[in-house]
Amino acid sequence: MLVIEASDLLKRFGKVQALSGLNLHLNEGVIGLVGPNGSGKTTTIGILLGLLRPDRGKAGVLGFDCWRESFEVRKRVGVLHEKPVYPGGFTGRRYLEHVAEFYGIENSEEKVSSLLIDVGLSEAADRNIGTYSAGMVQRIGLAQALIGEPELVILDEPTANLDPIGRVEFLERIKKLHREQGMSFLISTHILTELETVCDQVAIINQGVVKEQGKIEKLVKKHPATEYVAIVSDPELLGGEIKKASFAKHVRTETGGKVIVETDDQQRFQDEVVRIVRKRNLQLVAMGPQYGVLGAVYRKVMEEKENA
Amino acid sequence: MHRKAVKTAGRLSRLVHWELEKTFTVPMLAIVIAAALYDFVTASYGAGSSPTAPQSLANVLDKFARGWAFNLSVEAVSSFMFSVFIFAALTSISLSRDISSGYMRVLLSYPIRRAKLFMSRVLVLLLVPFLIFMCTLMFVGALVFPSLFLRISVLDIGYIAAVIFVQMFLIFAVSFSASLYIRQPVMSFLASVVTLISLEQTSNHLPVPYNYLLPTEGTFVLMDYRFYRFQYGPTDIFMPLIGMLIVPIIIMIINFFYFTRRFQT
Repeated sequence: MLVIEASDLLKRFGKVQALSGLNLHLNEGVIGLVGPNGSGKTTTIGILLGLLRPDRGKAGVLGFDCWRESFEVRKRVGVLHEKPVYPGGFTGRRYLEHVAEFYGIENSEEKVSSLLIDVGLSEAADRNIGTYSAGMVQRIGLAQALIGEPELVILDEPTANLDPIGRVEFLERIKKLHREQGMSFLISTHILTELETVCDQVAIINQGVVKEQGKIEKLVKKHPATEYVAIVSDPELLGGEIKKASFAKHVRTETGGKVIVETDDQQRFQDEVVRIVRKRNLQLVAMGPQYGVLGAVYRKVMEEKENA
Repeated sequence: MHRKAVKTAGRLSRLVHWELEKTFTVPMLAIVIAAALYDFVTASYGAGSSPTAPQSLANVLDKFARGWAFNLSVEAVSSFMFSVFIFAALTSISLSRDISSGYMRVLLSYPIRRAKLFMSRVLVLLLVPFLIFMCTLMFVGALVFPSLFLRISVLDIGYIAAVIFVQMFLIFAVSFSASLYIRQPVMSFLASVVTLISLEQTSNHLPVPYNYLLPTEGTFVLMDYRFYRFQYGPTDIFMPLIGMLIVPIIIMIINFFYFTRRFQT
């Protein structure tokens, strides 16, 4: 079922062309929105929320027109904006209680308390937001995005400012909410390795147009990785052995025990690494595409478009 | 695509409550109260004149009370520039800062009707400071000159309130526009001040009765009509009172349509 639909979106800010005919057709699920800085991700989010009006084209969320029926969209969508600002004079708890009122939630105390525990802010709940660290602001941002039990949650750079454990917890929470409550997510981020752990679909944007979109597994098949990495106890030895094999176009070693292999044959790479590791009695730490599954797709899409 | 029905709370009072809690922090309150105290102190200084012939105490008090009410309205008019700085700053800081910091973007992402958000801002940034200002003036008046205060007629207080309100409304309307279009606190404050001073200067050079449309000429007419009535007829009251309200009302109608239909952030 489609949750986001946009066709031929065009948006200009003065001389800057932010979107140049963007088309998006995304189904329920956890969706990644990726692209380089200034590619149009935040503008797209602004249009989806009815905060920006497209100069041309139409956008719809959950069956509602994003500009004409933006109120209906906002009732069903929770948002965590990039670098969010919340009133510093409110405590985290008070702020969430107010937001709950906007969503028509009566007697929100219990819900707010449980949400504060969920996002790891229960101890700081009665402190003013003005005293929060950047990571804590991000957590209160997630809580306010979830409080209305939305059908779709839009997260713009959600893990920015979160510590490593906070990031993992955050991603786990998204998985859980999608699995247990059926919430859909649109996550805009640059951190592709995080995205591939939670997303089932992705849209790659560059220069205001969607370069590629769809299920990750389909995109991986369409744009297979060409660089793989194996981390082993003796990279020089492994690298030397792989060079002797005919499948690798290029082999190099890097610090951290990495052997980088350029090849179109992923299966052969894996088989050879396993064979050499066993034969030479090496210790294999990790093995996979050099830039992660999604990173490889992203690079290929970007390179293809640049070459075209 | 699916369309499910979802309920939300749409009460303006909740939004006003939210805006009040956010905007009226101690420094903001202190500024409005200080402005009212300034008017009170300057108005009280030299209120009433020494009687030229022996009079009863009641007459002296009556005269003094009327003089004090007159002085309050004179002060309200004379301190137009002072009010410009205070109330333009209040509006610019609150609205422009919200837009430039990205907080307005957060707020507009919640299920809140833009028209209600607009109304809540008007109530919180115009009516609430006006009420605080008037209440402070009256409270301090009753506290410092209780016997005098009781002798002021309700109509005199109404005139003082009207004079203060029409000024504040114009200041608010101009600063609201500047904040909405410029979206930068310092620049929108400066633009408001320059615009209001220009309007003030322009009104001095406009022919009668067009000069009544803007403070301070219009408020002087209102005040003189109430306290002296020596040079204006009953119909003259409409031009300054309605006129001075029409200018900010037109500005606010334009702001309303811009904010609800075209505003993007």
